[in-house]
Amino acid sequence: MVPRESGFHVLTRPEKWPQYLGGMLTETAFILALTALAFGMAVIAIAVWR
Amino acid sequence: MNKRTAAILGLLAAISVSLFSGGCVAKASDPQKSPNEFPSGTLVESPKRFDGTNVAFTGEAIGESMVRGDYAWIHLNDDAYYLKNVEEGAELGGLNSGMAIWLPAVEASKISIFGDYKHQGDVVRIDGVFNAACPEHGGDMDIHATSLAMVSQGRHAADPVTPGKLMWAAGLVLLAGALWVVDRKWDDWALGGRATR
Amino acid sequence: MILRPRKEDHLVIGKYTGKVVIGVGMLMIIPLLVSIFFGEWDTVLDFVISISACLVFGFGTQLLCRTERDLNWSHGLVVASGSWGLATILGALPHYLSGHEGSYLDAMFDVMSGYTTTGLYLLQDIDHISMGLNMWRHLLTYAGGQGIVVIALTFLFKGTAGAYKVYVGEGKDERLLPNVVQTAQAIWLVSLTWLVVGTLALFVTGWSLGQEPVRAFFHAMWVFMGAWSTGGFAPQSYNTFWFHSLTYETICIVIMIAGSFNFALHWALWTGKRKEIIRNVETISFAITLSLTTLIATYALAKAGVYPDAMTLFRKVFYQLASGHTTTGFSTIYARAFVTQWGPLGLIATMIAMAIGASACSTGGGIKGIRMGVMTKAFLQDVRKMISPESAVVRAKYHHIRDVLLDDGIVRTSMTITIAYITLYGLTAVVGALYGYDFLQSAFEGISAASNTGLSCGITTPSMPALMKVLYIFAMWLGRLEFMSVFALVGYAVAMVRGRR
Repeated sequence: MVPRESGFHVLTRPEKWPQYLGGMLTETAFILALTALAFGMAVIAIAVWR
Repeated sequence: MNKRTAAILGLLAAISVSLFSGGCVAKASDPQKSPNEFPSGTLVESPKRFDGTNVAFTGEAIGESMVRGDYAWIHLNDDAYYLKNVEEGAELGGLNSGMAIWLPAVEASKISIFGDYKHQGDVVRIDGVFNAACPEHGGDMDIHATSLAMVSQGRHAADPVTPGKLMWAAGLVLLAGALWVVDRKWDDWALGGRATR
Repeated sequence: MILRPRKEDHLVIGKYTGKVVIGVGMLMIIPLLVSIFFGEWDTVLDFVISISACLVFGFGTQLLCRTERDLNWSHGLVVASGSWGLATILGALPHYLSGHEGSYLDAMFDVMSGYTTTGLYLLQDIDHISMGLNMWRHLLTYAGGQGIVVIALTFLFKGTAGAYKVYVGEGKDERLLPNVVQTAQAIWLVSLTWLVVGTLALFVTGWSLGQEPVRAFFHAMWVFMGAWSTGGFAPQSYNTFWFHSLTYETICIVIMIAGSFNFALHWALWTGKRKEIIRNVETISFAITLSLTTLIATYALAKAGVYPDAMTLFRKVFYQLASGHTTTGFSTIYARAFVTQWGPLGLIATMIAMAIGASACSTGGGIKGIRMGVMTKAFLQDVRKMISPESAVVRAKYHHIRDVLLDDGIVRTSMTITIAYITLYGLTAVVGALYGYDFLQSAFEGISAASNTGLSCGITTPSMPALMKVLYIFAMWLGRLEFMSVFALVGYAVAMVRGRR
């Protein structure tokens, strides 16, 4: 049997998953950093108000 | 304006009129009123006025009780459906409305039926303190209740199958099946017809 | 001069629209199975009727419209917007048959809101609807997020060149992979992987928060679908306020923001280009506008003294703003609390966030980060030109996957679409005001609809005027498809009447 050249088979080969999960972790890390940044902004806003 | 334009404009007008008449029947003639002196809508509308005050709140227990240690979260709806829900044939009376209640888990365990598709939940009355932005719960608007009393028991509320719907379902399934067969066989028939010629 | 479409044009459009509608019918099999599993027999019938209706329409048009021609650009646009319209009419059947909708218009409103990942709803007594209908509401918002055409592309279209044209018509124009069907598959891979991980995270959290395992699972899946597709639907009328948990909210924030990313960005990150996340024009734009709007809202709310302490204040502000900015529409406050607690400045900050919205080629809506980036760069370029010597050539670039040289064509397109959005925002606001709603509230609700956000300050109710419902339906549709394909559909209709033979 010749493996199919297109479709989910190619995209979901086992060796690709570490990279995919790495991508997800990068995304999550960025979002949490963004939350921290926004928290910084909030601290400034509260400080200014006080 | 030619005939074609007139016809299409007429069609558009007919569609809009039917949409409007369809859209205007949304109001129920006499929806169920809230049992509370200060319904959830009023509490949300003037949170400052009620902040920190004692309130009594009656409503249908909805969904589930989420026990967190010695306390639990429940949600009480005092909307148009607290006595009878839409599945049982209540008149439509707007969106749901209610309050989140934080109370001792022991009190929450008195509720046996929570409202969902198949159930009309227990109607209970709680007494407690209303918080516009609760410092203990991340600023949530809630009521910290101390006591809970049963007003009326909930019930199983199965939505019966109507024969009319059953007929429609059967008819449409047959029609869809027939069209599917025709769609699949069409090319064969067309080719077959040509081959025999 | 406009050419009147010929029979062949009708045939090819009919054929592909039929395919998309069949796709919608297939999608209903999932809620059907859920209803069977829970023994909700009346709802089962609703879905049997609706699936059959979709199939009758789909197979019927396929039979009537037999053609081997491929789609051209205008066909693609018409198929995309036309099938969204039809999918709304037919997809509204389960909602309407459930008996929870005041009218068929209300049912269509909810379905359009679902497909366009808006999140406003008119469904009454949502706390008593069946598991099947809840599955359908969330599934259609999840499907609408990836694009119902993308679904059809994945499963029904056999990789024709014309397929790309329908895909573009749906407001997506990135090719993650050379072939459009592969692109659709890559989009699905990203979405499904996140679905598994996100649902698992929410499920474990929900379970530990005191939910029954089965309920925790379905709630997790639905909340994930609402968050990832930046839709904003949730299974209870209390939205995500239901859970009263910082952990649940944090997971929701991660999913919402991840869902608002451009699929091309996802794909770049997933194929090893990690640096892209801090270089991409859209993530930078999003970071800046999100922090600025947080700044405004925090200031306003701190001044108003609504929340007892800084942490509480931040938790509430950031959740609603992240939800608004990603055009999700989740909230942990009551709709009316935007008015009664947040006040004008809080409303305005949320409105700005919603109006700007998510990234292009994502599940979200709004003007989009890339346009904000392009316009800002163009503005700065003009300022630099002004202060440079006349002979100097001032170039500007922006980074999106690769460096792109800013030319007038790109700026022009960005400006046109931005102006179209602003006009739509203005129109919805004015119409609301004409009906007697407070202008600020009506602007908030209008922007929320047109940017496909779904936060509400209480105007969207079943008793609102029918014209406003119709207007919001159109606003959601125009906003999601980014105007062009809807205009193409209108143009097609006009050409049928007025065009030259």
